[in-house]
Amino acid sequence: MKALTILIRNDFLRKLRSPVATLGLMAFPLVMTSLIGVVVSNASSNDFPPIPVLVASDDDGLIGRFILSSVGNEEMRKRFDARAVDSDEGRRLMEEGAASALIVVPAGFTEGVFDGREQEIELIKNPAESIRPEIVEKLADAGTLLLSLAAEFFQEELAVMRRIDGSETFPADMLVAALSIDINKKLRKMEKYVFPPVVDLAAKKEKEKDDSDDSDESPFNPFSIIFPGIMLMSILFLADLFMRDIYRDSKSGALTRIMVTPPGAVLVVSAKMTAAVLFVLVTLVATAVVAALLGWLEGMGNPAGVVLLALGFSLVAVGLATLVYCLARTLRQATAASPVLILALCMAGGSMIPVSAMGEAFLAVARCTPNYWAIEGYIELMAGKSLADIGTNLAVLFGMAAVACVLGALQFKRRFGGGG
Amino acid sequence: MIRVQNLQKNYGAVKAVGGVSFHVEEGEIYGLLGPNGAGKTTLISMISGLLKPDDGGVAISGVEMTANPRKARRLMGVVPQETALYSDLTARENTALFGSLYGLSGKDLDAAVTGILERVGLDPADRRKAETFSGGMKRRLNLAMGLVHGPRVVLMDEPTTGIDPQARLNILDVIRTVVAEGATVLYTTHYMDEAEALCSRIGIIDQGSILAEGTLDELTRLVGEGEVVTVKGDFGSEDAQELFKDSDDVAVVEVGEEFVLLALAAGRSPAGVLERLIGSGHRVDDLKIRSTSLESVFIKLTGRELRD
Repeated sequence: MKALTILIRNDFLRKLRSPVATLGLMAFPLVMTSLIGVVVSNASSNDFPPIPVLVASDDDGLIGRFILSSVGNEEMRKRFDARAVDSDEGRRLMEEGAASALIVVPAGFTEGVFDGREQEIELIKNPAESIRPEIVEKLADAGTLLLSLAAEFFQEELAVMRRIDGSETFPADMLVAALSIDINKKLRKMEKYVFPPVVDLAAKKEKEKDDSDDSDESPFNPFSIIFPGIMLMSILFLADLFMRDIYRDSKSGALTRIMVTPPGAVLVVSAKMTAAVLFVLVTLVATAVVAALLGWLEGMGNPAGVVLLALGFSLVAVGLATLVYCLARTLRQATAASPVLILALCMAGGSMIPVSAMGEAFLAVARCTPNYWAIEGYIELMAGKSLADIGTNLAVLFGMAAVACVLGALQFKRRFGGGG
Repeated sequence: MIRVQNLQKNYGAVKAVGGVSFHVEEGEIYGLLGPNGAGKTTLISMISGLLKPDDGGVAISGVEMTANPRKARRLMGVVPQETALYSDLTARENTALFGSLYGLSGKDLDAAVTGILERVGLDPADRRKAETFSGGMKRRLNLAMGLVHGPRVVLMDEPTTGIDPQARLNILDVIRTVVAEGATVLYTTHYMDEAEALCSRIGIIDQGSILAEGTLDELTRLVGEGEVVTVKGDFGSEDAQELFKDSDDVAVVEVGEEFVLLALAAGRSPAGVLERLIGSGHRVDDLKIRSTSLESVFIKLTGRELRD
């Protein structure tokens, strides 16, 4: 035990003497998370400027008036800077390039729809712009489709509404009530086709949550999602950095010299691996403190679970790094193989791209990586699951760690300490 | 103190060490003399427990290495051929690390570290990182790290390779001192003068086998008192072989395109050899005569000169 402590202390002392690489790898997850987080935040934010749209209606019927009135709709205002104009003014403004698009509802549009005749809504796009007029066109396409369906489905009701609209007198209450009941009945019949149950269920859940705890709604924090995956990558690189000393020391002869001291090969490799895991964990804690101060560990979940996941993953990382540096015949081989292995594990395991975005075929590959089990476990903990719920994740991680460490230690002994 | 019994090591079809046996008495410096690739380092690696022999055994003070490696190692100090140290640690830290791995601690460790660094002349630089040291200083630190715990048995694998004469003398002085204090040393080298000056007994090793061993006098008697002569000239190798093939008192040791190495029988004059070469019509450019020495013993035993 004393020899183990001496060897671990020696490894830490040496790392303290050359701290630049360690500090660089400590900064790595913070810098990477910041960069990716900023990009993701910008891409997902809702402050995309509203698209300027002009709406003109030469139709004084029900639909024309409905379209004009939608200009002031609150939802519409979030995405469009819509302005009601008459068609001549609209055309003039478009020539001046004052808007991305002009929608013109022609005269007699409502009459035509009620008569079942084919109708057209005119869309004039600003040729100086590329994306925004396209967005308006897609929206207009969807609107006309909905309008066509509604005209077909509510043909009878629209005929009644047309009569009411054209009448000089106020409609009788009974007529309005009967019309409402008819429309409601048809909507109910449509419901199961138009509103599939899954959508309905999700909407209800969201509503219940909103009702129960309005104040608990927290904004989307991309850093807390990105940081764990990047941190796993950093752990792999830290283990690699530490175990690279095996190769350096074997080249200088220092490792051989240590091997002929009383502790022997088994204790030397055990000390090396223990020191590496401690080094990774110390670095991880230091980085996590900074991340916590930045608010990147919000909703982290059960701390004991997180610690165990980190420990299991660190052991796998150290075992793999030991194996790589004991198998490689030259430093060039090792430094070529190690980053490839690390990046492959991170790519396939979900440290770079969420596994859910990769498709079912990749899932089998992802499950062979320690990253997958660590990330999935962390997500479970973030969702409020307990330590018992991530039991499988921990079992797989520690199983992988046992295999990697035993193989690494055996190869170490075979390569450097055959005599005892 | 050190007993080596029939040690063997093969790397595939290559025989690195083939059935080597010898023993080193307490307080003795035993030299293993051989060219590079002779098997010295492989032998030291097996004796120190780093390498597992294919056959044979090693005992240090009666402790079998294979049966009790930890105990056997505790009795030894090893000074490897490379300057095997941690360049990012200071001289004191490097030395203290090895002292503590051999069981020293506290004040004993401090005293041992200070003592050995003074002995090798590194005490003024004990707080400097090893990476700032010259080659000679690194060699001295290398020696200090192997001696810090005061081992009874010291294995030294060419500890003076590649250093200046002053640093070499310092190292040889330190070795004599530790032996005078009771240590036993197994010393490998390919420097004849070192072996002659330092070792009480010498084993001549080549191609994984010990060809002869004993004191310098014993070895000299073994191969005869005759001189070794190197002649350079315009003769070809076949001419030289032909010229001396029937000679009882001159043996052709090695021939090259422009030289011949001859071992003379005791009492045979080099002048006779020279006369014979010139008389047969060859031009002689240079003549080198080596009187009885470890070098001439080595040449006679191995059939070639000892080169780096």
